[in-house]
Amino acid sequence: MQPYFARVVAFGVIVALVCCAACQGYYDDGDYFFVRNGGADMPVWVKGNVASGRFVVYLHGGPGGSAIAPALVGQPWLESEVAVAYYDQRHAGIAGGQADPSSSSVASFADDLDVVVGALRARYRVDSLMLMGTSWGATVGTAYLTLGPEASRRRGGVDGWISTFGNHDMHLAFSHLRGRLRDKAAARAATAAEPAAWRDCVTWLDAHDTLSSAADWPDLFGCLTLAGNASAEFDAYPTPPAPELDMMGFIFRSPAALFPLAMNVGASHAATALMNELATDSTLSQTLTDLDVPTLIIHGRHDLVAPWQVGVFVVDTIATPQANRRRVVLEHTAHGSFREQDEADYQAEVLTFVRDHTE
Amino acid sequence: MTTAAHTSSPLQSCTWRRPLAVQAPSRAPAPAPAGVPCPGTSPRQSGRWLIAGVCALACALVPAVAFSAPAVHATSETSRWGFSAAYFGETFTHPGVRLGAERTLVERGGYQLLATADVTHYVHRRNHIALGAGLGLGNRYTGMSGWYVDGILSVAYLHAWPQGDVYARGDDGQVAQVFDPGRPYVAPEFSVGFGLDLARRAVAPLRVFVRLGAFGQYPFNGYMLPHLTGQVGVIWRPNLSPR
Repeated sequence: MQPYFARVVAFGVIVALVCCAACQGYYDDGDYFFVRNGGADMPVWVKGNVASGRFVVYLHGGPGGSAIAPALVGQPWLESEVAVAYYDQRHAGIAGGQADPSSSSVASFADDLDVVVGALRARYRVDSLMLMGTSWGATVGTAYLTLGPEASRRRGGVDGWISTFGNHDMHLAFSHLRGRLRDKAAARAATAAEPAAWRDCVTWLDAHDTLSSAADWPDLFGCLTLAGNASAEFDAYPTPPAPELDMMGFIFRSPAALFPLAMNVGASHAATALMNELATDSTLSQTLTDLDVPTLIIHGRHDLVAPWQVGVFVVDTIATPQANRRRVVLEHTAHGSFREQDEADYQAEVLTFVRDHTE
Repeated sequence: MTTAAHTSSPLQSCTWRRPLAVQAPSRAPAPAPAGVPCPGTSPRQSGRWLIAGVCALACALVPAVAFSAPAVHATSETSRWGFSAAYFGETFTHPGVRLGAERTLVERGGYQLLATADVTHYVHRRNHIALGAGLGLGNRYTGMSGWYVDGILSVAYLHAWPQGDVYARGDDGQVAQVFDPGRPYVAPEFSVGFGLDLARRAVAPLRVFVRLGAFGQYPFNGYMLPHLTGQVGVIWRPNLSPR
């Protein structure tokens, strides 16, 4: 063998080692497949106790958030009991395909969920199935269970509905959060070192007693972000240690990818028709009267995105028998940000509900 | 919304954009200098793993550096054609391969204007599989020592499939696993590379290179999705003999 060939072989070996290094330690636990519907390719990651035959479908927040990315950490406390199906909704998370956000509606998200549930039933032995929606995911779940002619059939296949920090009607939520948000902004405008942003927030809230279009979202998100970063009474509680996310594994050795995670959020929020629907449509508050499956509603006392009063409205409106509906308010929690013992209480509530209503 | 950044739960996802955008770029360690021994790798310990990866890339250049020792006569011969093979990593670590050809259109001293063609295949596990074919133009500057830099602008047809079983609703309304024909995309790409012309070292009719780049995937959910790429490979010039 000529010397330079040996060197080329050595170079090739090094390249091969790089390739092999890329394959090490990949996040490949659980089962993984895709659901295709309406132009969207949505990843589904099933983790946990599949053998139990009991499934919880997790509906992430957003629109445009992700379930796959946080599934890298997962919910071991729940996955040890049941199988949890995490899926990224259309043009959200790392969902791919060619779904045009401008043509999406709440109903299309519900239709996607219908295909996800169908795929789970086609792939596994499913003895019981629950939905668990957080924040915007509660809108998707409520639409799935109550919106349109298919809703009755869908409810027949669902053994329970868990809404955590959920909003199904932004009009309703805004009516409850506006006063609290304005009070906070006004107090901060009087005391903060840089009060201009707080004053802008107060001005905007004074000029808007309701949401009227997608154009309201950026200002509202701005106020909520500001309030979330400076929630004095909330931050007074000690912060528990956050679960460790392996960022390098997340970026280089997982199904996740940074660009779609960031850009799907932007594309979803720029979808004028969808955001208009969220800002102006209260249909789900009316269709809630059809909801008759066992229901657990959890909110945080300090949540300004999904006020706890939304939960009061839900449990007072749904048709579920009184014994099978439960509402919980976590006293030291904002929009999913737990403090004190609230995380343990949250997990206990969910587990108890799942055990009580699945076979 | 921002409160979720403090969360101890994986539950919220509407706030992923902020933490990811902030955290992602800041963790990369500085590249190790060529010739430094590679440390032991521990794949689950990310920092060490990345250092090992960067070091491996650096080590990939070590043979090339070693070749520089017996440098004698720089060749004056030219080869208009070159054929390349490279490891292609989408986001550097999602593995694939790129095979290509290049033709020198114009050459002036150390400058070359290149036309390129390539086919690429890579797998991002549990995300997607891609197969692409592209054409491009590039500029390359080669110094007397044989080291060179280049930049290539290209456009490709990219076909991508979800990397896993696909389920969809059939005409009968039932959901079942289906055959997936994949989806077509256009993929403009730009990359910059550096490497060593071994022919200038009288070693072999080869160039070794490392290349970093980015390509877009359009239409992806109504927009162009960027991808970062890294390549390590060789270019063979068949009718060029080392001296």
